[in-house]
Amino acid sequence: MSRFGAWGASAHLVVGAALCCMIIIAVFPYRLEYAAHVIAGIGLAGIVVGWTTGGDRDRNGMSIDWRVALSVVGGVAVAGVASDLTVTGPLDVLDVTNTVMGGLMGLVILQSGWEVLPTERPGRVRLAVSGALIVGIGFALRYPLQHLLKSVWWYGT
Amino acid sequence: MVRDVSRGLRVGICLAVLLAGGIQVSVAFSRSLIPYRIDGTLRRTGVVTDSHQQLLTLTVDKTTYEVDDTRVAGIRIGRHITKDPWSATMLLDGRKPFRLAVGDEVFRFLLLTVLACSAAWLLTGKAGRGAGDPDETS
Repeated sequence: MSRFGAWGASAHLVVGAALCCMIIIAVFPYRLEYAAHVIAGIGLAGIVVGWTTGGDRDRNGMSIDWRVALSVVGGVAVAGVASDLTVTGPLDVLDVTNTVMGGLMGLVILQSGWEVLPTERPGRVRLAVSGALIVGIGFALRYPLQHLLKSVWWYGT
Repeated sequence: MVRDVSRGLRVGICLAVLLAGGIQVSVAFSRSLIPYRIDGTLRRTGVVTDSHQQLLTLTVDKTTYEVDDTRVAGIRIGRHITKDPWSATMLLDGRKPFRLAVGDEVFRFLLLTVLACSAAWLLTGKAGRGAGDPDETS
């Protein structure tokens, strides 16, 4: 049982997203949009896993299987393309690939904490809400935070 | 072993990470211009916003390329550029060679791909090792 109780999977996802974000910013300090797309992908993975792992599919609990993995990759790729075609455009292969890479990392993060993955609806809703929150943070990093950081960090003004 | 990630899925996730990383490295590599065949007149240069002036655009005739070599900003508008595909040298006005370099983002993406693939392999294996639930086997 996780020390975070019912929020175990959500905490797992948030900590994993934060770690990924720090690593990417360390490698690409001047390309914050890369980190933004990756953590948005991680958040989308949380939403998709929370959405798809319900029901009585597995009497012993749940784990990531092909159905969930393909749902995450497909869902994140579609969301990445749709986002670039509308809000975060213009369409950029690198943006979409970064988002998909984030989705894969989200899958890996959640699978690494399989023992705390929720099977009941409230836990899955918490996971999906945490994923949505991470997507929101990614969006904030992509636009307002990046503009703020650009002014105080890149140019020192 | 119901909670185990099957070996096939584990390999599949790692291959997907490698594929995504490969695309990232390829896109970053294409910004060196080395893969392209170019034959035309330089119409415009620019800077990609949000790139800390590290990413430029080069418009040759009607085609715009993203370039991560800041030296291209010094090429005068109106010059004729020619280069063979996969050549690291382009000629300005047919005679002056301009040596192209592979940008450091290629190596940064390579590093991240190796890290991501290692993490995917190690972390998805964790469930497999601990998957035997004593309550189910007794």
